[in-house]
Amino acid sequence: MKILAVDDDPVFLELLLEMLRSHGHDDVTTAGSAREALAILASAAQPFDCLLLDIQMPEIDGVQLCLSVRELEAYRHTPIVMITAMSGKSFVDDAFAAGATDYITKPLDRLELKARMGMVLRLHDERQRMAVFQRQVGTLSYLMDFQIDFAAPMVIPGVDRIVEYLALENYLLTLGVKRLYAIGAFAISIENAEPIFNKADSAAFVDMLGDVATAIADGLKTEQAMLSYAGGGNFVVLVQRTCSIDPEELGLMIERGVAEFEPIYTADRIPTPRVRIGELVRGSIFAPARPTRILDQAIEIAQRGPHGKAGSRNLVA
Amino acid sequence: MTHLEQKSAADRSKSGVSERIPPSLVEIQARFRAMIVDRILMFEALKRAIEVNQQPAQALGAISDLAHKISGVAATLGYPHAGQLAAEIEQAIHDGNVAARSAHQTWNCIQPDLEALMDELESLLDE
Repeated sequence: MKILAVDDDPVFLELLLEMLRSHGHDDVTTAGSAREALAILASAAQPFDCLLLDIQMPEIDGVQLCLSVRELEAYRHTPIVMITAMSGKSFVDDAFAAGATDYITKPLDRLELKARMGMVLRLHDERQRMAVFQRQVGTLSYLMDFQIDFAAPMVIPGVDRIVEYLALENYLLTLGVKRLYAIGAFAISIENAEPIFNKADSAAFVDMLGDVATAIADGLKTEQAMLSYAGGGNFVVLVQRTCSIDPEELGLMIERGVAEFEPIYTADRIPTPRVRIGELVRGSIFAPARPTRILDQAIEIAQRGPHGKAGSRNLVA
Repeated sequence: MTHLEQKSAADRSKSGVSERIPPSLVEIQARFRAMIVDRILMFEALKRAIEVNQQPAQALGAISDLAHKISGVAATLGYPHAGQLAAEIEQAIHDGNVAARSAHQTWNCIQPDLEALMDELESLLDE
């Protein structure tokens, strides 16, 4: 795995390099500033597979660097792990909004670094699989035998506004009790995802997910929202607790967006996706033990549909 | 005496103690130690700047940057106490900025810890 590590402290970079080496990561390039990092990225013959960025750096900080990196086509979905001191934890929120995948804290802990890099490696492998998949879709789709796991979260190619599910979970885990209380989540479930999955080949299924994701992203254009695909035909959206999204209006917008692709679905002999929007689940200060529970609950409510609505109204994370 | 000051005073007895580190980090530790004198001198210069009211906010920022560098590596290189003091200084300056405290208010809060950190760094030179 090709790694770029950025920090303005050369001693920290040496330390990080040594620790990464001890975990078997030998292909590590270092940069002492955001400018140097951007120059390295621009001139790299092969793109990097993972970026480790210190948040607190002079001139251009790690969050700004993360934003700039995400604007580069080759790095839209590359895992980016932010490095922060405890005092910089308040910037982690901004880092996730800028597209970070995860973060680790200074001083480095061997086990923590190992765990984070293990996660990055899994993401990297998944990306490699997706890259192979995209190549196959582009060239030999009729020969394609690429298998995707229906239940697993995935990064949907070509949809920029979607964040990895793992990043969304990591984001929730960084929130303190107060900030967890300020957010809400709702899910958008493709009612007939499983029948579509059973009928379609992998490429057509992923294309269909991309259509729905684009329609959702368009519908949420004016909102501060984080969108992710959780697997099983379920999208989750993280919003402010006080958001003013009208589910009916959003549903209509998604429906209209998806309807544009109907001729393709007909040609592929798969049903047009039907979406169901679940009620907003709000974070609760009384259940901070597992912040990611809010996502499971949002999905559960969306899947349950109108019949479960009455019972789901009082449900909070 | 603030909480920070009490905590630092209590911890001061632990100073000058380094922990064993893996052999692969010994060279990096040596480089860190080689920078100690310069860092103490920089802290001294910044401290003087605040005391004579010469751009105290900038001096505090520079103290925070230096403390950030120390707190990021000291514990891993076998100097947990220096790392902890540096982290506390960094945190206190950050908190002062968030609370919009004046540079001198923040300075009063961090001064005991900065003195302790400089003592601690000095003691590491004797090892």
